[in-house]
Amino acid sequence: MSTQPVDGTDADVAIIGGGPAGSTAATLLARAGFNVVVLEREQFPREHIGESLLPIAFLALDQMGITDEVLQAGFVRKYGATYIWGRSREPWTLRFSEVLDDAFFAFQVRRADFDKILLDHSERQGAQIWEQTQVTDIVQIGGRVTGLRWRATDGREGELSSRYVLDCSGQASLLGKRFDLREFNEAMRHVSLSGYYRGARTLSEVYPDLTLNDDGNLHIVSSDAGWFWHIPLAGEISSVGFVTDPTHVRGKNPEERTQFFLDNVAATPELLRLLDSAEWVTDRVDMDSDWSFFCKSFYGPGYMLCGDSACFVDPVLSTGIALAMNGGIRAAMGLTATLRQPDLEPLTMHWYDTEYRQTAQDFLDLALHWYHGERKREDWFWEARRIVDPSQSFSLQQAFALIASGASRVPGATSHLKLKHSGGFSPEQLKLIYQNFALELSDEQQVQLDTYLEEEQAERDYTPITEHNLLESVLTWAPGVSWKPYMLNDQDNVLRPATMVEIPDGGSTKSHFLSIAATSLLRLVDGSRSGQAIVDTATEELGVPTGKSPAASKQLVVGILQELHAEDALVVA
Amino acid sequence: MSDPALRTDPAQLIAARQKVVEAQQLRDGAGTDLVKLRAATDLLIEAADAFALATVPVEHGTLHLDLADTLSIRARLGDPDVLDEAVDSYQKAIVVFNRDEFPEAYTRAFSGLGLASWTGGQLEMARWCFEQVVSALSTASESIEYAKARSNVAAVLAAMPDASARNQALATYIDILKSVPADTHPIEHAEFLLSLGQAHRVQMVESRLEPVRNAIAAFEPAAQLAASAGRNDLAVRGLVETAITYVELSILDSATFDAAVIAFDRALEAVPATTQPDQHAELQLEYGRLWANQVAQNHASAYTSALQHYEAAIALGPSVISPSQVAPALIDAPLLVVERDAPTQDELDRAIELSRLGLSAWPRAQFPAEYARVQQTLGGALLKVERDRATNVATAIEALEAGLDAVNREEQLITYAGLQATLAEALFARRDGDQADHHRRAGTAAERALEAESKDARTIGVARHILAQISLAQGGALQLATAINHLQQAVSVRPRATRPTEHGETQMLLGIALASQAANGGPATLTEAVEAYRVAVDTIDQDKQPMTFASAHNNLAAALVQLAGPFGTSLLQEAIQSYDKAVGVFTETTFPQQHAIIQRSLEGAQAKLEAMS
Repeated sequence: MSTQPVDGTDADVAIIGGGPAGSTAATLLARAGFNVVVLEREQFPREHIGESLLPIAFLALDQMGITDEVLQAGFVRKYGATYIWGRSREPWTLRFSEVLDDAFFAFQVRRADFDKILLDHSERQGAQIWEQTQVTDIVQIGGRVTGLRWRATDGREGELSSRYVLDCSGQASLLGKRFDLREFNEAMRHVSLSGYYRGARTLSEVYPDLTLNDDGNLHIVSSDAGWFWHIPLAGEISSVGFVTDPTHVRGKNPEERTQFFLDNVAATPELLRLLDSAEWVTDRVDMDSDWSFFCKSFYGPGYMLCGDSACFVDPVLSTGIALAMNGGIRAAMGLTATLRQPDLEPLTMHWYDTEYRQTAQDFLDLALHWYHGERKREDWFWEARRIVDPSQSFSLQQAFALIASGASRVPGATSHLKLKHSGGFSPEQLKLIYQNFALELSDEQQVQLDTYLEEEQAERDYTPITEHNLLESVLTWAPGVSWKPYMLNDQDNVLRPATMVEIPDGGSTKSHFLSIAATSLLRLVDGSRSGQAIVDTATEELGVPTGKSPAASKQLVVGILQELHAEDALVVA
Repeated sequence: MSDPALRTDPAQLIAARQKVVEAQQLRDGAGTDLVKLRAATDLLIEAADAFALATVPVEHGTLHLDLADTLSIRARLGDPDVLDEAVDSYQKAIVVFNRDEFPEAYTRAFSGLGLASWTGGQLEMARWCFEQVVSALSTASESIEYAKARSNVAAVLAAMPDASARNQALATYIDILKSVPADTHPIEHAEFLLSLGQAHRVQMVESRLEPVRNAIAAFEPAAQLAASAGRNDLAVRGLVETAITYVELSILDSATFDAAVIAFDRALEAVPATTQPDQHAELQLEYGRLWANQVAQNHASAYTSALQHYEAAIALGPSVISPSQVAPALIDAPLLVVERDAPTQDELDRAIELSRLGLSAWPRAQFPAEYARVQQTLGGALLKVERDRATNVATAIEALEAGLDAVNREEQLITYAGLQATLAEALFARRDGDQADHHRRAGTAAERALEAESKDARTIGVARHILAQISLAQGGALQLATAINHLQQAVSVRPRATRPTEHGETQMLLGIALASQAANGGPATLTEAVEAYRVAVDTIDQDKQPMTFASAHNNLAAALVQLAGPFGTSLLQEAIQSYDKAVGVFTETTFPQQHAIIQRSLEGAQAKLEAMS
């Protein structure tokens, strides 16, 4: 289905790699009307590990317009995860329904099929897909990446010019390596050995507390030398992987590694109960690096990094595809904004790096905690709460379920992922979800939240600062408040520049957005000027050149300062 | 903010602010001086790097507004290539200025973007931009600014190709006029009346009469109102628009011609050539067109008046800011001459001269359609020149072939067909070289002209006439029948009343063909030939075409003698009169051979008549 590469092609965006990050970005960019070329080294379908999705993947699938096709593809539905970890060998099960509406679930997918569906869809949406085309070098002009050199499997070579290059090359991280951006986490240096079984028992057959719905769960089992994943796939196939310290397999040949893997399966009774009657259908195990890393920057002049190319987080939370698709969405949003308005490039790239890094860091923090000693499940719950819920609004289990669903912290964004309607969330929890998570509230929850916010405002007994006081006083920022020009995603995934003021709020931080023009004004609030001085300077420097009357300038400036004062961002010095 | 692009450099900012001040001073004093405007643009672009959106957004937006306005002015004054940059800068400003906080800059940016989009032909975009301005000003719906913003939307609607949009424009203007009464806002009311007139003029309805009349009914009071309010420029616009609109009205309703002449005279008086050469030239051009349209109505002085006004427009060429304004006269004036039934040699010489100027004014690369039309006119004029025949025919062929090379057959079918027909005429007239090849090529060109089905009478007439001549030259019964068919159709598109010379020529050729067919036992009779000859001699002007006149009489006389038989006394008398007229032209001194032959025929006819009596 893919097209032949053509030397001298010009594209708006060249994407290296046709995996979930690349295909997500390619589809969204092509749908936005941009000329996109995906250079994929392999011929799809091709096998790949990382078969477990999180519910947040629906966000990308919906935006790509491919949810129905994926729903009909026959992938196993995953309603949660079942863990056996540490000294206690009691299984415990997480269900996404603990925080999300019951209808939400994820999939366990054969990547050969899933990735091909996504990439074929990209092509149908207008992206050019060049399979069996390897990127051999980048093209740079004045330090800016302006294209790629490629070689096809038939030996042909050529050059592709593009306004941006999006590196979705996976752990190969072509640009990350080229610009020496990768920083490895020594505490998360693992390798994985993996293969496939046919005919494993289901979880509900083995664990009496589980139902048929739980049969699609991700199954994580720790062992003496590491931990196993067990992912039920369609056709009674199970993907089983063993994550271990690289010292255990160093110097071993493939056969010895396979034997090491099988020996560990045999030594892990909880896993063996599922697999003892199953057929091992893999000649020998595949070995992959699971060494977590983050690139120092997720972008540079003319390029962005996305998916495993930008950062790799240990697979214990099965966040790989979720992060990749999440990154694909954000990269597409950022590139759409900056391709349409090149002036937005610095802000957009900064926004992309900040938000994508934050999401990945949350996952990494929890994964790091996972490996720490002989912890009980409550430890991970506590850590989850520390990461996503510093104000301690959620129950421990809810906090863990939130992060394990892939609900990332994105200020000012919402997704269609609906918060569990009958979950009994308190107004404080709703406020936190509203402020920080890509989750949608029901109408009833929204009313509940609005009422709460009004009451909270009233309880603060806030008296708006009078114009007179504002003008006469020297104004300064409240402790802990910071502001910066940023991008706001508040209109159907269209980014627009804004000024983000971050204000401490209990144990958390709330983001308050102003127009981008406010950036010019906020520079004047330096702790030395009175309100009147700010108004005077703003009138002269900002109002007059834009055609505003002094009265209109004053009204605008006073309005913004009063708003910030009301939000506790600005105080009288 | 770790990204260096998000940090400011104070020194760079100070230098950039200085550049902006210099640019503003340059632009404010530039007027229409493109050199100064370009320098102002350069300074603003240099400053733009320091005014990053992320660091000083308001200054970034303001700079881009200034830059966009300057580029937009440049685009209108003759730097069309910078229009895209203007659009780009307006968009950058729009990113910064939201409607609630900066309504002034917001409306300025959208108004500018709308205008730039309109200039660039992006009508939907222009409409959307102007609608944003209307929406932003809707809280002050009583203000003149609001009315002007609505007027911009209506102006774009009026320029749109669909009838419903144009109707909507009309309704909007009428509504605006109600909200801006003449007694309280005479100047604005006059401005909107002018716009209403323009909107009426472009209405797409079955009959053009009503919209054109309505347009004048808006322009005339606009001129009066503006004059009484002391706005001479608006009053002049009203007079000019009125006069120009009369050009179409006079075609639709010939009774308005006299009013049109009055309107033009008033407008020309209001726009002296010395002070307003551009508008004066435009008016002279349109005045020429007004008279040119009357040529077909046989108005006595139409032809001369049209040429006079075209020449007046052309004479202003060196004085006008935009020479392209008078360039249409370099197409229209020579065309009028060439299409004249029998232009004088002096008129043809001038037509050739103007056409050659037209080739410079309408270069092929930018204006292929106009270039082709000028070549067609040039070729047609050269063919009609009597002296240096061989040279002129060869030059005409070159011109016509160049025109055909430039013309797009599908898009300019009439010009294409006209070029082919005239080329056929030129090739048939060529006397040097391989005559048979010239005839073959002429036939091909004439066939192509007819295949185009342009419905242009002149083209059809020429093509059929040439095809008939070729058939006659070939001889044979079948060719004779073909020739008669072509000539009969040519006669029908060359009416005696409006194209007497061509009509006469074709009738004479038809007479020859019919006489030949009669002589060879074909279906035609000699009587039919005589009838054709009689029309020919009756139509051809002896003073303008003495040779053709004499030949036609000679042919008629010969046919009459043949037809007379033993008892046709009156026919013989008529023949003798015709021979007399022929020898009056072919005198013994000027054409001794022809004179001798005709004289012998005359004497034979006289002898026959005497024998009868």
